[in-house]
Amino acid sequence: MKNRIRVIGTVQDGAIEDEVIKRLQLVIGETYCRYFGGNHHLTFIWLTIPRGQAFLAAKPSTTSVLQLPVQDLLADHIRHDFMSEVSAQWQKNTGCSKNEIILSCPDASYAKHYFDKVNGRFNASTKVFIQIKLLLRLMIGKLKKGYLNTSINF
Amino acid sequence: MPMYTVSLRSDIPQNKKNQLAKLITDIHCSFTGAPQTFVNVIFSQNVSLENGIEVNVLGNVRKGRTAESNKQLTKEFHQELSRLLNIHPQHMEISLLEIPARWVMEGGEVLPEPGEEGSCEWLQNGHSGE
Repeated sequence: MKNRIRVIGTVQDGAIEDEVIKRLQLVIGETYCRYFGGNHHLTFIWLTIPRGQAFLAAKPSTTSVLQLPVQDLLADHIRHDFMSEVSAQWQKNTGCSKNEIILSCPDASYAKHYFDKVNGRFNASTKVFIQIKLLLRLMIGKLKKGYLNTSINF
Repeated sequence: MPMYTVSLRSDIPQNKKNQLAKLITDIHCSFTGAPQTFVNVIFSQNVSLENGIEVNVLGNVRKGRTAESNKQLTKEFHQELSRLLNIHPQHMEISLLEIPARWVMEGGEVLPEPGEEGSCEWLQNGHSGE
């Protein structure tokens, strides 16, 4: 059974073409398996940020963020080689500069903790409903664009 | 990094978002000494937050500062953000989650530890261009 890895990408609305995002999924997935073995399956979830909702240094930002968890306690030199390769692949495929991609490769346990914290924002009494709604929106996004995606807004 | 995600129960005017982003950036930098070019702020709107909560701020910050420093930073956010939004501090949730700098790459470089920004070529070049 494959080890499922949840990858969260946050991109500016319309900044990266759908075909490029699909290619990124493929390329990054292949790189992940080359580094960490073929028993991993990456599930990408793409969140789009509407114009006017992202800032860097208090100015409008064009930066994308990719959270790509790796195994706990991975040695720094392997993690850094992997990050450099993914960052280069991102730039090559999107045409963006190295300043327009923030890549985090946390331990898997940290990524889960972060995800729990993000989910912890939601009203406890409607959390299940929200999660179902999110799942539906992601599926609709996949039907429309060919990959799991939805807006960062609700 | 840091990456501040501001979740709002409803939409707010664009000028308020601009002001909030500036305020968060200024507070973070004045407390930590980090350069402004580090600070990312993202807004998420129409979020079904906990009852009584209007704004939730989750800051993903570099690990390595003292608990007291993070406590003071959180306190300052609470005071200043609630003042800007004209809401009671109790209607706002703010939390910081620390991530080791060596797990993050920006500008093609692994992030420096807090206080070691001088060694970061990307930051010294102003986070612009290639």
